[in-house]
Parts: sequence; C-alpha cells; structure tokens
Amino acid sequence: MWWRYYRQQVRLLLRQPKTWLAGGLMLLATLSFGVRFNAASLPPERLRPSALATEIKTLQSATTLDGLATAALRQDQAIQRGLRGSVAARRQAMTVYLQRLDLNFYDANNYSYPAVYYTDRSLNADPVRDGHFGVSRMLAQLAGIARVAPTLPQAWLDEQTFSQTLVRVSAVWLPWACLLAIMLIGGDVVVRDWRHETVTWALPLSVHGQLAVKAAAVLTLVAAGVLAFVGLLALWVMPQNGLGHGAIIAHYTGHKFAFDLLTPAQYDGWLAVLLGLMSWLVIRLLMLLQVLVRRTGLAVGLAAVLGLTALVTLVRDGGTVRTWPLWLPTTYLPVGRVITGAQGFWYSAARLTAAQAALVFGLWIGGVELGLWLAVRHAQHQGVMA
Amino acid sequence: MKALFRLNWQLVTHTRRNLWVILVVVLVAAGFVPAAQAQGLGDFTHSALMTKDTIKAAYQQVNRYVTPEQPQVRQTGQVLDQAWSAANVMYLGGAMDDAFNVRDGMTRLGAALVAGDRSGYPGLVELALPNRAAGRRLQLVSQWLIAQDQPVQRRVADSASALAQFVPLAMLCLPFLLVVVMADGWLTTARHASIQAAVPVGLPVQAAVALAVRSGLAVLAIAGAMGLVIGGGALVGGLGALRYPFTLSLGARLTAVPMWVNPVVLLTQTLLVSSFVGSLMLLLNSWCHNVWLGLVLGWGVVSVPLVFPAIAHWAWLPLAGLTPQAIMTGAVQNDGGNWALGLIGADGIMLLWSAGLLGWFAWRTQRLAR
Repeated sequence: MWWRYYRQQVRLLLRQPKTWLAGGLMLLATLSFGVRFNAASLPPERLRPSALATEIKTLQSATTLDGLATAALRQDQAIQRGLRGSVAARRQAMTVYLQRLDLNFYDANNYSYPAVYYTDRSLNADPVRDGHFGVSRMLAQLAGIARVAPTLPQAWLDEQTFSQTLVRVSAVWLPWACLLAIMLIGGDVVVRDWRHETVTWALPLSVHGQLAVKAAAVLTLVAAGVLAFVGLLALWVMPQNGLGHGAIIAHYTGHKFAFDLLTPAQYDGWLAVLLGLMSWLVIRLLMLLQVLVRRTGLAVGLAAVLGLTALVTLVRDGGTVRTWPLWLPTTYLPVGRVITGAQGFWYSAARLTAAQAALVFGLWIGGVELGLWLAVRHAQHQGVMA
Repeated sequence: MKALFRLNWQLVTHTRRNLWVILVVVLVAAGFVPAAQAQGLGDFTHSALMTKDTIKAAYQQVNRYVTPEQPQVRQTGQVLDQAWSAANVMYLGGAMDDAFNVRDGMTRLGAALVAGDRSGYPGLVELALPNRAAGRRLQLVSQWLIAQDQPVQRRVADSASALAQFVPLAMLCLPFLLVVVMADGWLTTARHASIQAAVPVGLPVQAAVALAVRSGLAVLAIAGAMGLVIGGGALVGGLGALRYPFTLSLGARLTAVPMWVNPVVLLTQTLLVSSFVGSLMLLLNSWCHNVWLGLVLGWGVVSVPLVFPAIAHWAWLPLAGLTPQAIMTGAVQNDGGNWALGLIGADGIMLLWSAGLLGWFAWRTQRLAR
C-alpha cells in the first residue's frame, strides 16, 4: 500500500506542468553554467604569465631602479624562469607568486591582490581580509594538488575539474535551486488533497504516513533533478578537465586563516547530508504551514518570508559576531560555503561549520515534526483531516 | 469592448500565476527597507572606500615600483593619481560627514574618470575602473548637489533613498516578472474557439486587449511595490529629499533629474517593456501552445542581455531595452560604444520590434483561423 501510494504521488506530481517547469529551469541553468560560467569563473589568484611579462618589461625599460624595484624585477624573473622549469620549480614559482600577491595583508599601501578584491561590490566586502583568505586558500589547494597530481595540471589549478566544479556550483546555487524546486513542486502538495477529501478519508493510511510519503515523493523528484544536473555537468566537464580526486578542496579551519584539505568524497558526503536535511526541513515546513493556513499562496509566502529573514539577520558586520543567527537554518542555506568554511569566514563565526549546520537542521526538523504532529491532531480534532 | 476588457481583467486577476507574482512583489517590496538597512545597501562611505581602493590598485599596476618610461603610461599614472586623491577626499568627507569635501571629491573624481576613460588607460593590463558614464554621473550629481546645497545620500534612511536603491533592482527584475504576467496572453482565447468566434471584434483586437490588460496589471503591481517601498521609507525617516538628483540617459547624453522622476521612469519602462514582452509571448503562445514552455522560452530571451551582454549591444536588436537600469546609467552605451542608444533609442527599437512581432502574430492567427 505504501509503495503504491508513493508511486501514485510521484505520478501525480509528474503530471503537473510546474514540475516540468522546474525541470526546464534546471536544464537551462545547467546549460548556461556548462557553456558560459564554468570556463569563465577562474580563480582570481591564478598566475597570469602575460601580466608578469608586462611587469618585467616595465621594470626593465626603467632607466633607474631603487632597491625595492630591483628586488621585484629579480623575483619576477625568477618566477618566469620557474614556470618554464621542472615541476618542482613551477610549484615554487607559483608559491612565490601567491606570497607576493599577499603583500597587502602586511603593508596597507601595497595594493597587491587581484583587482577583483578591490572592485568587489558585494555588501561589506573587505579587500585585505578577503584577499588574504583567497591567497591562503590557493596556497593550501596548491599543496594538495601537488601531492595528488605532481604534474600540476592546469585544469586542476584553475579549479575546472569535475570535483572542483561541483564545489563551485554547490556553494550557493545548487542549494537555492533545490529550495526553489521544493517550493515550486511541493508548495500545494497538502492543500491539493483538501479538494479530494473523500478519497483521502477512504485511504487505509494514517495522515502522518500520507504526509511522509508525499514528502518523499517530492524529494524523489528534486533529487532526480539534482542527480540529472550533476550527471550532465559530469558529461560536460569530465572529458575536458577530468575528475579531480584526492585531498584538493581547501577547507577553512575557522582560525587565523589556516586551511586543511578535504577529499571530494568528504565534501560530497557532507553535501548530500546537508542538502538532504535542508530539503526535508523545507518540505515538512511547507506541509506544516499548509496544514495551519490551508492556502498554498499563504503557506509558500510564509516560507519565503522565513527564508528572506536571512537578509535581515545575517549581516557581515566588520568582525562583530552575532550568535543567535547561528541557530537559524537560513544561515546554512549556502551549503557548499558552509562545508568549505567560507561562510564561517565571511561572518566571522568559527562555529558556523558543517557539523553545526547538521545540528541546527536536525533541531529545526525536530521542532517542525512536532509542530506538524500537533497541527494534524488539531485538524483531526476539528474534523477537517482523516 | 468594455466587456472584453472586463473579461480579461477577471481572467488575469484570478490566475494563480499572477497572484504568485503579486505575492512575490509585495513580499520583496515590504521587506526592502529593513533588508536594505540591515545589509548596508547604498552605504556611501563603504562605496567610496571601495572606489578609492579600486583606483589605488589600478594605479599600482602602472606605478608600483617605478615611474613608467612611456609618456602615455606615465599619463595614465598621473590621471589615476588625481582620481585616487579625489576619491580619498570624497571618502574622508563621507567618513567625517563633511558635505563640502564629499561634493568637491565627487566633482574631481568624475572629471578624472572621464579623462582617464577617454585616454583608454594605456599600460593597464587589468582594467576594472569605473567607466566614463560613472564619471559623468558623479559630475552631474555633484554639480546638482552644489547648486542646491544638498548633502549626499549616505544610506537608506527615508523614502527617497529607498527609492533610489529599489528602482534599479525593480528594473532588473522587470522583464522576468512581465514574462510571467504575459505568459498566457493568447492561450486562453485560443483554447476557447467558440467564445473567440462570438466576440464581435477581430483576433488582433482581442490580442491587443489581452496585452493591454496584462500591462495594466503589471503597472499596478509595480506602482503598488513602489508605494510599499515609499511607505516603508517614510515610516523609518520620512519622505526625504525628493529633489535629490539621479541621472538618466534619454539620448546621447546623461542628464540629472530630481528623484521624483524615478517612479515615472519605472512605470513608463514597465509599459514599454511589457509591450515587447507581451507581443513576444503572444507569438510564443501561438507557436508552442503551452504556458510553461512559453515561460521557459520567454525567460531564456530576456536573460540573454544579462548572460551575453555583448549581444545586447547590437543596436538593431531589441535586447538593450530589456536592461533599462543599464541604459539609464549609461553602462550599455559606454560598453557598446554607442552613445546614441539612450532610453529613447532603445525603447524606440523595442517598440518597432513589438509592432513587428504583433504584425507577425496577427498574420499567423488569421492564417490559422482561415
């Protein structure tokens, strides 16, 4: 009976045009990412030999050089030589290049980070701290790549392998896509049954069982969409840039710009756990709201308001840590950023980790499940649910 | 005709999809002021600091260790030095709440950016500086502020400053919202051939009414959203300076106009963009007969100028008009190197395309009806 009810729910959801709209949008997103954004989004700290050559030319053409300029010219030339040399020399050249980029962290008048850090218009960006974070991350990543791929393939350094692409795409966009898909597909999954009360009352399944199966059906479709997206991305990226294996994903430890490394398996494991918890929380919250207000628009509107509270609560405030947003699930919506520690760095909260995210999602799921149980009991008491 | 309008109005106000759009617009507009205040949107001091850093970083690209030998590159260094010093004055003025220095810094920075952009900044490898349009905007705004002896807006603190931040955001989202509102412009009529035949006006007129009613709904939704933002701002700090300047480019030149013109421009753009999106969606309806597929295709078309900005710079395509916020600031004209493409030009081209698409749609439906 459970299995048949589950299949029927999936079939019903598949008949809805909005399910296909969600699928179409995901396909569009995949195509635009694969065609344009993946190749375009290279790490800003990458070594650009042309910029190096220009600087060398400028310094060489100067009639007089002071001590600082002479040292810079020698260093530039050493980096250029290193790039043409053995793998060890190349790695050393890249390390020196990254360390030179980091001068701004120690000298306020040396604007040495890539231009993007100074032109970043995102709210409350801090060029020096963000630049130092970026360079430290790249140094950690370079060490990881050198260990597992000693030839230092360019695609790995440019974060274009499949594993690294998945890290970038799941930082913010993939969880948001899941969230929107769940709201689109599951926003009316309970309210729809109110129109077929006789059918619902006749089912030999408890209301709680029906709601759990409905949630599973919605999440099955969303998971299928995510897997299709990841599969297409793999088809697009892997033949050109490879898989990218081993400990190559830099993870911020939360203290003093120190990084350790994650393997793609560790990252993907956390991603699956957190996406799963987040998705279950969202669909059950939507169900609770539907049982309470019995209107699709109002339920999704309220869920959206809860989601948008992040805009008011989660503020990067010049190093000031506010602890209470750490207990809101919206803080952890950019799941990938949480796993790599970037979210914790941005909001100066070392506790903002994947484990904390799992704990907060878990606690909220507990609360929502309890609320749903009570709301269903209340509705049954009123005689509006079977 | 009146009955046809009423029928269409009832249809659009009872469509769940349109109610969703209204819900989203209301939510975003109602939460805009608190969110903007919490996130520091439009914070003048932070923005001035970032501008200062951007210019200094560019200056160090050409002048880090030595003064360049080539005269052109040396001149780039000099222009950037002037721009940095002006940005510093502007930033410090903002930090110290000194209106005179802010306006003085803005004027000098604007002039330096215009001069630098004209030269093309020879010697800069990585060019990420505010463009000529941004420089001209700074000049115009500072001239206005000096003439009116007004202080600069420092953050979202009242209706006028909230509106200044909300309108560009609304313009960015406008085509996407319009695609949803216009998504079924022809489908409902096409599905009920008997009703269609009984209406005593031709198919093109029926389509025009469908388009007009949906445009009206969009205008009302946007006007309501602006009302909420103005109300939210007024609750926080009153109406503010409704004569604060903002710049727009109607033709080849940027012009400074008072802030109260901003809502008028947004509503006019809503009408104009809805004419194009509406006629596009009518045609898509007549082809694919599916509202959801039409939605995806429509969103695909309106996202082209954002995903591939270079295509939007082709003057004879209607795509530039779909990014009114970028045309108003002169960004499209600057990047595309076509300063004739102001709001009037882009909207004119978009209207021509709308007429063409409507003609195509009328020809198609009449041929199918025969």
